[in-house]
Amino acid sequence: MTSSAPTRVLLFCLLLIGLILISTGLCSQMLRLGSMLLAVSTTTEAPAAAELPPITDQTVVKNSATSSEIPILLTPAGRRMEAFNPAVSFFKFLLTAALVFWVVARWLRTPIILRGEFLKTMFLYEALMVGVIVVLFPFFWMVCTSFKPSGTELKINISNPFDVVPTNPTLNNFKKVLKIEPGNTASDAKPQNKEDAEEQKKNFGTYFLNSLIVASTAAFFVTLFASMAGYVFAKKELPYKSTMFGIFMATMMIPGMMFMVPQFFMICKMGLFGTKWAMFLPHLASVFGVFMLKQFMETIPSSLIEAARIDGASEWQIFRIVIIPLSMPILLTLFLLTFLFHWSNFLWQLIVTDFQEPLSITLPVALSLFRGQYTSDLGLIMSASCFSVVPIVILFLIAQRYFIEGMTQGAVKE
Amino acid sequence: MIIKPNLLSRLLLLFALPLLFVSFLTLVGCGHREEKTADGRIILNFWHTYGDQEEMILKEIIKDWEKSNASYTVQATRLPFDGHKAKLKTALTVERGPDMARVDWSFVCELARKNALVDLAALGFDKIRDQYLAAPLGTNFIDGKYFGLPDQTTCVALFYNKKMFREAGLNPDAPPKTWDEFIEQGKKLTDPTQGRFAFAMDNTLWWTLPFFNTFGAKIIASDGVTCLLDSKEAIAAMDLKSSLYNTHKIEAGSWRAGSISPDSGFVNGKYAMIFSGPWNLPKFTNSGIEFGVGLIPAGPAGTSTNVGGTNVVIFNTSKNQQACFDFLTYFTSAEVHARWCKALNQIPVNLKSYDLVKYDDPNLMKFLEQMKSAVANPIVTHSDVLEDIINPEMEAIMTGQKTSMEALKNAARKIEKKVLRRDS
Amino acid sequence: MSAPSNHRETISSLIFLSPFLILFAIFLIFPIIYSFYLSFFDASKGFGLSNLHFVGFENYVNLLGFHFEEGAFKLNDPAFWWSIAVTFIYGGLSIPLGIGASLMLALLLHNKLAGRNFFRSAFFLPNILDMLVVGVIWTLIYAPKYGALAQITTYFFGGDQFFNNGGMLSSPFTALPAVIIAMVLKGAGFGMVLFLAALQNIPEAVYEAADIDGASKWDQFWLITLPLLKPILFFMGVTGIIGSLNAFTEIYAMTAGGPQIVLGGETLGSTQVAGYYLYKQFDGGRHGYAAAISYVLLAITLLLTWLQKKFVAGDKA
Repeated sequence: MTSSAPTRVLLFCLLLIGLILISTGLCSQMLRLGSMLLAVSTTTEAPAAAELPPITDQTVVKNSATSSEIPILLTPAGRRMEAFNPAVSFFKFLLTAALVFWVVARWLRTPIILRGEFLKTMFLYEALMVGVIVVLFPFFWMVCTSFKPSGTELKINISNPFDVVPTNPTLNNFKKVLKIEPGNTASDAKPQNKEDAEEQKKNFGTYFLNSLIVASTAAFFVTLFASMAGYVFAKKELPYKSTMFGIFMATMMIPGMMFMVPQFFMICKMGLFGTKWAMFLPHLASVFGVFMLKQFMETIPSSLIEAARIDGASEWQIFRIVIIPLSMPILLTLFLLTFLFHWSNFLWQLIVTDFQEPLSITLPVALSLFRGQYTSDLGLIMSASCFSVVPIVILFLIAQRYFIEGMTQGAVKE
Repeated sequence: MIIKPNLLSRLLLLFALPLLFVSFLTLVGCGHREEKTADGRIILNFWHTYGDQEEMILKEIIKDWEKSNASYTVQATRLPFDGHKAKLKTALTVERGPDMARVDWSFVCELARKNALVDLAALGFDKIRDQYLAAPLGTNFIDGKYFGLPDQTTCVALFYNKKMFREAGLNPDAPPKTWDEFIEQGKKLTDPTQGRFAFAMDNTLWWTLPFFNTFGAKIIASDGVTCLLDSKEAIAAMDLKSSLYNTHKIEAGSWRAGSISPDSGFVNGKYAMIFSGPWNLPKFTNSGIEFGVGLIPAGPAGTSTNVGGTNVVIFNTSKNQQACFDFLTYFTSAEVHARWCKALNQIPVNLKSYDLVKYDDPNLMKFLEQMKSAVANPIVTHSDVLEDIINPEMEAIMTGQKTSMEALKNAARKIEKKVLRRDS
Repeated sequence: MSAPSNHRETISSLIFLSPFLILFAIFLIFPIIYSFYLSFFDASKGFGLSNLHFVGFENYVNLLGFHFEEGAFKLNDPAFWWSIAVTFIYGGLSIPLGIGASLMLALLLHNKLAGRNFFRSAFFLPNILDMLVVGVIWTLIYAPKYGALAQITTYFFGGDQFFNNGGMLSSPFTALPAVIIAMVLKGAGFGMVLFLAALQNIPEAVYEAADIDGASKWDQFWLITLPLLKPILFFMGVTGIIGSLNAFTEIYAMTAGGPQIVLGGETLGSTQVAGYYLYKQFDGGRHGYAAAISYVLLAITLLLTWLQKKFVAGDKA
């Protein structure tokens, strides 16, 4: 690095300011989120008082008739959250100060010749952090909105529009999502609806489990079949191989919605209407998956396969011992993407659902059942989205050990 | 990616045809649904899209009906409103549809013209027809016949923020009565530097119908093939709409893609007036703003509004059409419907129910009043195409890229060609 | 290889391929043929599959043809041609940007860097969010006055500027780029994972040899890394094309085809991509017309592929 000392110090100061901005912003939001979660989870002992009146049309409309102005009162959770504010500010300051202190200390300890490198690294980290904030903001917003009481989802904190953490958090949305069986909104405790045990089972857990079964079965088979086919197209011999592949590729250009009606027709003819098979069977032949795995498997050096063959490995053994482990990151990616596709495949699952069998309903369809006709309660949708994202995040966190950390330089030594 | 025809055919022969053949041979046809319960009652399938509370009351009403109609039972199945069209369409292609269903008002025409519905006249609809409110009933009137009856209706009215009215020195209990008053008061309510606007609106056809209706403009002539969008009245209505934004600058431009929607601007106290429906009453109340509801400002044709809501229809594949009809007329009869409306705070579709329903909420009562001035929406097979033609042209007017005359004439001719032209 | 072992290889290949082939044959060949067949029919007479009404090439004529009106030739469906043009712009911008962003991320995070696993996970995470949710959130980010972008720009440039008055989604010229930015940021993590996985298959020894030969890092990137990543680049390119052709959720969630722009008397949606146009036809129940659109799109893609093979030549991926 040829830059002079004053320039370096100037750059360092600029980067330090950036660091302070990023860290205060991030810390304050994270801490506020934390304090909100804490407040919400600790005030659940008195749920009746903690929540705004449920949106049964009756109660609310009557309210509006009697009182001309309804001030927004802080719920106990909101008050508790306010009590946390000094602590939040203190920790925000503490964390930022600690970070700055640590960075300055490292800067001072770095030998002059390495300081250019230090600046580069620091810039890289800050840029990456900004990137992470930008790409993860939707998540954060989703989580925060799901805690906002009905009607206030779109209210904006005028003094700081970036502050999306609700000031008045509620668990109402989550409670509603967890009890989405018809006729069980907070207002009615009438027992007449609980006719039989089946009615009791019509809850989120059942729908969740249905979706889990459908999505994971589908993802497993798609990954397995696509990896086998991809292996053939990438590394094996077959007459007319490339022509066949060309045809598959061409079919990928036709949007899937064109196939919906004929596939539905076939499913009905097969007598599978309303079954779990119908939910994913037509989507098992994933050309996308084959293509993705073929392209990746082409980057695996052929010499590895040859070596295994010379060692006397059978075709299946080569596939299992050489190809699968080396493709693990991509296999997991495909698994995750397929899981995701089936986890949120609303339209197809809607049309093959037999609504007279309420126990066969999957999650996306169940979630759409409480989406209103004219208005969609953003908080409810977001908390439902939170629930539907949770298994995927868990899946991802498990998988990331294998595929994010698995991708280390020089896995292949020749 | 060059496809050799001989290979394609060989592949087909190799894999597809035998498999298809075998699969179609071995598979059972669409399983037939049970038509009777174990105790011999005939099942009437009713697909609805009601919410939690509505479903509960529906079940009570069904029980009451079954007391006097012991040989039948109504099996009510709940579908999500999102996608009820797709569900019905696909179910009908394999003839697995229900006996009757509740559908969005705009869907009745497509169902009727694709010969899926029963003409209600044959079941004795003429005797009871007059009890329904004209505008919602009108959405079932297709090619001279009634194919459904209304079960729920909504319309839009003027929501206004009382606090903002007070701050602007206006009477918070007297929203504007005419368009002239609307513009005059609107100027006092607008302060662009604060991001405050008197009005915010959507720019799609359904949301523009109140403008057209207050000017007495019809979209489609009674012959069903002429579009009257370029009539004097329609152009005047559109000119007024565009002037709110372009000339008087009291409209926030919330119709533009990506801007703050009227609902959220209203909740945030930035828009003083918006058009909205009764479905927002609980939500706005919860958000803590102080608001009232007034009638849509009157134009040359007085105050008026659009129609939303749903209708119930009977499918011609049903084997028990008369029983379905009897149930649906019971469901919408004066007392039963009044009970339904009272429990759910809804606008009655049955004129006789009006005397039986009384709400404490003045805002809701305003909607009942507004509903009586509603005019039926234009009824076409493909309402989406109608919107797809009109909406862009209206946007071109609003952004000043076209004059009202030019854009509406353009839209009218296109609609005649693409929407109203019906071969045989 | 000798003949018998070649024969065995074919059989084992077929066995590996068979599950996929069987499923493809059952569930995709009939729908493909059916939808092609459908493109010659009018499905607006009834719901049953037997209620189709043969119209010959009418759907294709209505889509591609032109007619004589008021002394000039006019296209029968200008909106379709326009949607193709928008699709080309959409693809032309989003594919290179997407590949560039994911390749850059992959190269950055391939280095030994403390906390790189955190960054890798974080960048991949947006892929698991529903497109609709992402669309809604980006609409809020772009929103004038309240949106994050408007707030930031107001802080630096004052209230009376573009991002605060209308925002990116309200101008016909910036709406499409705005959608592209959102989608590139959402999708970059996926490409990054693919590139990272492929990078690990490049033996370290190759770089070591290049170092000894005195090749610069830049040369190494162009001469070693990029050629070895070619299969992934090809995959990203092709899926990018498919994504652009099928794009509709992002448009549906963010702009619904608008804002409108008037060209030669026609009012056209500045973000109306072909996939969204197709979706609207399908959603409106005009299945025959929708089928015709998808086969025209297929023909265009095949033609482009063929042209690319013929003239750009050589490059076999």
